[in-house]
Amino acid sequence: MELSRNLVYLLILGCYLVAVVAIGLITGRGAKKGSDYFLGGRRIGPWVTAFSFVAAYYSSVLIIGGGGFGYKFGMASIWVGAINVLVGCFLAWAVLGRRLRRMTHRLDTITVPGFFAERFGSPSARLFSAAIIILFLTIYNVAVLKGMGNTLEVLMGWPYWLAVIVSGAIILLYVAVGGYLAVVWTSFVQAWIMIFGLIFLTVFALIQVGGLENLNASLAAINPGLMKTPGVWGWAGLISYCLIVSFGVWGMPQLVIRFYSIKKANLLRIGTVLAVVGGSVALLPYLNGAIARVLYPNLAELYPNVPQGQLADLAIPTLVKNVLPSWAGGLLLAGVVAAGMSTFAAILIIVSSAVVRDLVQKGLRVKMSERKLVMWGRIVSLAAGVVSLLIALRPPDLILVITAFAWAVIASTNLWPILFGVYWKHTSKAGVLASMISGAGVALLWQALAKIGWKPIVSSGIHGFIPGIIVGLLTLIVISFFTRKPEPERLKRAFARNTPYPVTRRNIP
Amino acid sequence: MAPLGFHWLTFLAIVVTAATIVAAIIWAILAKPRRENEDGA
Repeated sequence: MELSRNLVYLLILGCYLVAVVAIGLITGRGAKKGSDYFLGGRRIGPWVTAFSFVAAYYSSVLIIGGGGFGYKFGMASIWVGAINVLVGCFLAWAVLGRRLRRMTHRLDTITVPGFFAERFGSPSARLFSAAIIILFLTIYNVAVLKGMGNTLEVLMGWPYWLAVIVSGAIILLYVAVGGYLAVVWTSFVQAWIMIFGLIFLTVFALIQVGGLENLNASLAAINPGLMKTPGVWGWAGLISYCLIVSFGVWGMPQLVIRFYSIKKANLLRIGTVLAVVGGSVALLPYLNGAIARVLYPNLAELYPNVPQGQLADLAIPTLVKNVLPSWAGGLLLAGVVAAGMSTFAAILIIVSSAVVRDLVQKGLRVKMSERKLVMWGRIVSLAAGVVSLLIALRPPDLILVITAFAWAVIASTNLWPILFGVYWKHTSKAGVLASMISGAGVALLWQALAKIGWKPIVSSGIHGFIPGIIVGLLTLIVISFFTRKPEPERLKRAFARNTPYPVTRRNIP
Repeated sequence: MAPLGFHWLTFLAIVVTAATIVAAIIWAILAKPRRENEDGA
C-alpha cells in the first residue's frame, strides 16, 4: 500500500516537473535584450501577472509553515491569511500597481534598485538596495529550498540531499534558459496546482474532522485559546506577524516587479481582482493546521525522533498522508513543490538583475551590449542558484538564523522608498538613503537582540520588521523635509503625463 | 458565538476576506481607466 502511494506521488510529481521544464523552456525562448530577460519585455497579461504574483508570494513556507502556525496557535492564525488577502494582495495592487507601472516605464528602469537611482538621483540608494537584495534574498532562497527538501523527504522518503538537488537543478535549468518569461509562465501553472491542491486537502480534512462546527468544538475541548482570537498567540505576536507577511510584500522586489512587467497599466484592474481571488487560498493552510491539531494532537508520538520545536511543521505532511487519497496527495505534494519553485525562481531573476544591471552595468559602469546583458543574466542566475543550493545541502546554523531576518530586512529597506517614490514628490535622496539604512539596521539589530534572548524584546513578542518600518518612515519624512528634493527635471520625468515613453531628457514636457 | 461555532473575532477574518474580494471587484469597476500611449504605460 505504502509503495503504491509513493508510486502515485512519484508519477504525479514526475509529470509536473517535466511539464514545468517544458513550459519554462518553450515560453522563455528568444530573450534578446536585458528587459526581455529580466522583465519579459513588459508584455505579460493580467492572468499570468496575477497568478504568478500569488505563486511567488506564497512559497512552501506558507503551506508547511502556515500549517505549523495553525497547529500551534489554532484558529486565530487564519487572520494571517485574511490580512495577506487584504493588505498583501488587494491594497498592494491598488495602491502601488498602476503608479509603479507607469513611473518605471517613464524612467525606463527594469529593477527596484534601478528605480531608486532614476527616481531620486541616488546611485548610493541603488547600490545599498542591490547589496541588501543580493545578500538576503540569496539566503532567503536557502530557506525556500530547504522547505522543499524537507517536504519531499517526509512525503517521498527521499534523502534530503537528493530532494534539494533535484528541485534546485530543475529550477536552475528553466530560469537560466528562459529568464523572467519562463518564471512567470511556470509560476502561473504552479499557482493553479497549489490552489487546487489546497482546496482538495481542505475538503478531505474537513470531512475527516466532521465539519467546521465540530472542529471549533474539538479545539475548544483541547484548549479554549485555540479557537479564539488572539487566543494562545497573543495580540503582539499575531499583529506583527500579520504585518510582516502582508505589508512587507510592498517592499519585496520579486513581487513588486510584477507591476513593472504587465502589458498595460489599465490591465492591473483585472489583475487586482484575480490576485485577490487566487490569493484567498492563504487562509487554507492555517485552517488545515488547526484541523491537524484535532486529528493528531500528539505528533511527538508519531515522530519520536523529531525535535519538539520542529513537530508543528509536520502537521500538513501528516494530514496529507492520512487524509487524502493517493492522487490528491500527489497533487498537494506537487503544489508544495510548485510553491517553493516559483518563489525560488522569482528570487533568482531578481538577484541576477541586481548583480548584472545594478552593480556591474550601472554601479561599476561596465559597458555591455544587450546580448551580453542577457548572457551575464543567465550566468549570474545560475551562479546565484548554485550558491543557494550548496548552502542548502548543509545549512550552517548562522544561515538558518539569518533566513528568519531576511524578509524583514529586505522589506524595511525597500518599502518606504517605493511607496513614497510613487506618491510624494518631496522625497529627497538623502531621506531615502537614510530611511533604507536605518530601517534595515533597526530590523536587523532588533532580531539579533531577540535571538540572543534580550528579555525586553523577547517578552514584547514584536517582530523586528515593526520597529524597522517605524524608524524608516520617520527618518524618510524628517530628513526629506530638511534636505533638497530632486531637481524639477527629474520630477517631471517621473510624474509626467501623456508623453511619449520612456521619458528622456529631450522630451520632458 | 458566531456561526458554525466560531469565536466572533475569528469569524471576522472570514468576513474580512469575503469583503476584500467584493471591494476588489467594485474598485476594478469604478477605478477610472486612464488614457494610455501605445506601450500601455
